[in-house]
Amino acid sequence: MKARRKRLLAAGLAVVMSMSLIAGCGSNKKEEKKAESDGVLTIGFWGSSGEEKAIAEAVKGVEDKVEGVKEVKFEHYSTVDDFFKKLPGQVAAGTAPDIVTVTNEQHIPLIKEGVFESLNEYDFDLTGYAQNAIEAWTYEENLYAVPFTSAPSTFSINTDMWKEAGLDKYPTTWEEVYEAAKVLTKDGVAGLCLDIGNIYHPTQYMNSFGGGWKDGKDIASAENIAGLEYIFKMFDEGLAVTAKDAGMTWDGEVFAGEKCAMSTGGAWYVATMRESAPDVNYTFVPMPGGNGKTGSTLHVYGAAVVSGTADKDMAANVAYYMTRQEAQEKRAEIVGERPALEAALPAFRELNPNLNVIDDYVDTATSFGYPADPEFQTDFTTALENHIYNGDKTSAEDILKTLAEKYEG
Amino acid sequence: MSKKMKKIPFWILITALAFLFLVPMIYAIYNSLLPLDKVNKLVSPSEFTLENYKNLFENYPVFTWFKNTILVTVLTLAGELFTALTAGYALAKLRFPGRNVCFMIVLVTLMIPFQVLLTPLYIMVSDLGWNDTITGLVVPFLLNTLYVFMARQYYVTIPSDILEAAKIDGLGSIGSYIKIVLPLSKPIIATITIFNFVQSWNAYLVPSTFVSSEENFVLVVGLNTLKDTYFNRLNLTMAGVVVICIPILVLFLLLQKQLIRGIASDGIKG
Amino acid sequence: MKKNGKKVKEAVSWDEKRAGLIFMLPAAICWVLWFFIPFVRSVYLSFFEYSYLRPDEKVFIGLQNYIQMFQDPKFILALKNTLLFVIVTVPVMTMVSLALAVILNSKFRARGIFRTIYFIPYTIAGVAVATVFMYLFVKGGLVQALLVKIGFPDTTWYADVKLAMPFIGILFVWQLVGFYMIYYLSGMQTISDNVYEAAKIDGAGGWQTFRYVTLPLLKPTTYLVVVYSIIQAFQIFDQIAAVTSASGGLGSPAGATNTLLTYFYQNSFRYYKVGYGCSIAVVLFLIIMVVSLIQKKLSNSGDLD
Repeated sequence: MKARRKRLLAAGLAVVMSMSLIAGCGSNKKEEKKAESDGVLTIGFWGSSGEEKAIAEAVKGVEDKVEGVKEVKFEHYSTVDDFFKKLPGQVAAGTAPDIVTVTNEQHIPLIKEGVFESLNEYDFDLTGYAQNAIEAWTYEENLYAVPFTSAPSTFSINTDMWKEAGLDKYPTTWEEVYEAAKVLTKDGVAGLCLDIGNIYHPTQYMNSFGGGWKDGKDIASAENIAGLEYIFKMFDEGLAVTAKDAGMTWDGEVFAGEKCAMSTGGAWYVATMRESAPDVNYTFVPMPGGNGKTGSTLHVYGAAVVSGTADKDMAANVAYYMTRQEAQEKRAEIVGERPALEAALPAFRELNPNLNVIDDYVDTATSFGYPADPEFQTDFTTALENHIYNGDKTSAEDILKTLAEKYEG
Repeated sequence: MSKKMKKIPFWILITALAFLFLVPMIYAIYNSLLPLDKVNKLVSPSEFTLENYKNLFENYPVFTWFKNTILVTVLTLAGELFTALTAGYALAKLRFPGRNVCFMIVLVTLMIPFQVLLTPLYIMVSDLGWNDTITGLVVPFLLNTLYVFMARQYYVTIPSDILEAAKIDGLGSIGSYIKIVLPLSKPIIATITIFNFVQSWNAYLVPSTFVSSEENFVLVVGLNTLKDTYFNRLNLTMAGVVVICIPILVLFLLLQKQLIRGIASDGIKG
Repeated sequence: MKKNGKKVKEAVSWDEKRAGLIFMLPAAICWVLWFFIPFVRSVYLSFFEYSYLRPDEKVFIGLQNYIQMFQDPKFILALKNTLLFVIVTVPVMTMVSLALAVILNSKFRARGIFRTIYFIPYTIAGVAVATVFMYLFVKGGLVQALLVKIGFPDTTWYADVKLAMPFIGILFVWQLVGFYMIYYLSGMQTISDNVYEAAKIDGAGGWQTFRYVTLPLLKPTTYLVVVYSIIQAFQIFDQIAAVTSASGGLGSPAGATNTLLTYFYQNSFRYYKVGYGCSIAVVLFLIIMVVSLIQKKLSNSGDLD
């Protein structure tokens, strides 16, 4: 027995020793990272091979335009989930790309954790870039990415169904949408598709009621309460459907599959409609307003420089180069996204004449402004799902007040 | 009642069950033959097209992904077979100091959810400069404790007299393993081969984390980029699923007899 | 570790000891490098407030993560979901795989092809399986249409807080049952025909033979199947990820499909709370270990060797 105890002790000692060893080598990774730039630059992005094409177009010719760049490599995260799963490990290991293209949805936590460099010192010439797109990437007065798309949400209507129901003028307020939905909801078709699985969609309602999350500063505002109450009303009366309910992965599919007559969409609907529902007639109208106010969300891709890159100046200049007019025009063509640069818009308008309606109200669109703690998004979604899928009766006001208590300040 | 008549309910039962298990495969094949606007709809076979497969092989580096997948699978298989057979045999038949502890460790390791190791492993692999290489997908995965466990279970069932006889013939422990036991190991090799194939062929978590450039993708990761930025190409994805499945099914059909002999459940006690 | 009193301890030759150590070595090296070190690292981080995004800053907080856990309603829900999932799916998995094995063990033509077909679900990537099942269990879907006819409410399973986890369970059993069926089939090969002959002579019917001959002889297999499916059920992840990432977040709707592992994942990769995530993973690991030990004790106290 004595021998056994000795062995155990030895094993325990080994565990403790290796633990301290591992703890020791876990730190100080950042400093070790590529001390000197070798002219090779890595750009990270997620998505399809179309996305890779668009990024490749964006960096074309960069070797001649930005000093020191010898080669550009791509870090292709296959999905957005993979991006978020992988990035922290890469930052810790010092293998993160030099530049990443990210949207303005999950960017605040990354900025707050110090993942992106501020670009203020470079004083890039941003004339002609949409002001609200720049604001979407500005946090505490620092610019953290050069924007290259600016996509406000629109409201999309299935015109076949609209006509068939004998409806006439398109809605400009949520009240009118509600009335129309009552007529349009029938035979397994819902009046409205509202995808609550992603906070992105409910936020469009908050914004169009004149509210919004405002970086977590005014979560329980009267406007947000009105927006959430409206969402609940639509579901309580059976006028709205979620993508999940319809057995689809997102609202665009529901709209294309004619399981709803109206939905909040945008430029990102065009490809789906063209490919999977070429025979469905539809139109885009401005986002309806609520309680006498209007507003919309603004979706903005930006090129951000990752902290710890070997040559910050070089990376920043490449990021800026990637957003030039030609790159944004190509992107509009390949991926179908609306450019952030005024000069690149004509090309987009030519490709998407039915989206010209955006131009009328794009200036009122604002960023998502979620509170910095990403858990807020889960908590909000959970509250909505509890109401819609679980018959929870907590009022919109109480939900938002509870969230405000936890996430404000 | 004739013998044949008696068998009819049996055949109905196994066919119904077979259908139940085939539904997803049928669904995948069906949708892989349709243009996008017909997906999930019931259409006549005259609408079928091989366009998706053509698209898949023409517009995406599927052959490169295939090659990477095979490389990773074969190399990890070689490593896992080596570690599992040797360790499994040692745990089953060789008395050495620390054997019980080793066996306990094998069992306990099975209980660690792999996701927990992901980021620490990634950091280690990166420190070695193996991120975004096939090496990084192979070297850390040369051991799977499940296979060690299975090999041990298998070797326990080999009668000890065979080994005693070898000893009398003057063969050492290592010699008798190579000369006598290894030739008897076909079933467990087949079993590990199939399980490893299924696992590393379909693995997503690790390859999507450890590898980042398109030319190093394995099939499953590459196929996940088939959807366009703003819409899913379900038909193309399903064509990919069919392409992935076929090699595994062929392998299973070839090895299934060995597989059933290779799994042994005697002598669990540790 | 159990000492068998009857066996006389004989001297083990140096050759055998050496061979054992040499044979163990490759696996041991791999294990220390690629399991032990990263695992210890995760355990170590569970005592810190830490995010990989700031690798240089970790704050030692002792057991704070573990204490916080039991005041966290989301953790409690995940724990409840996980335990319930294991309690329900493991017996179902065991029984269904046994039943399938019994059917496929009888001799008939094309048996190999049927075995392959029953094994297919195990070989298909989880994403594809999830896609199909979601299509079958959606409101108005193929399976739903049948269920509605027998009075089931018309609903989308994975969008229903009460049905989402059962849906994952069906997916899980369906996909892995072929794997366990193979275990039972191989267990059945070890039962010699003489045993059945003897039972026949004693006048036992089909069911009686199964109940009093086959089942007891399959006990070691059952033990293995139960142990391993417990481990797998505790570690359910792929199916949940496939279903919920396609529609809402991991664990949706309303946390109904959140398990300890998905909650670990959320904390580590979405909320950047790596220390807290690691502590959840450690608790999950400990639970699996305790349950396995209890199971071992139970089966040892029975007539199983």
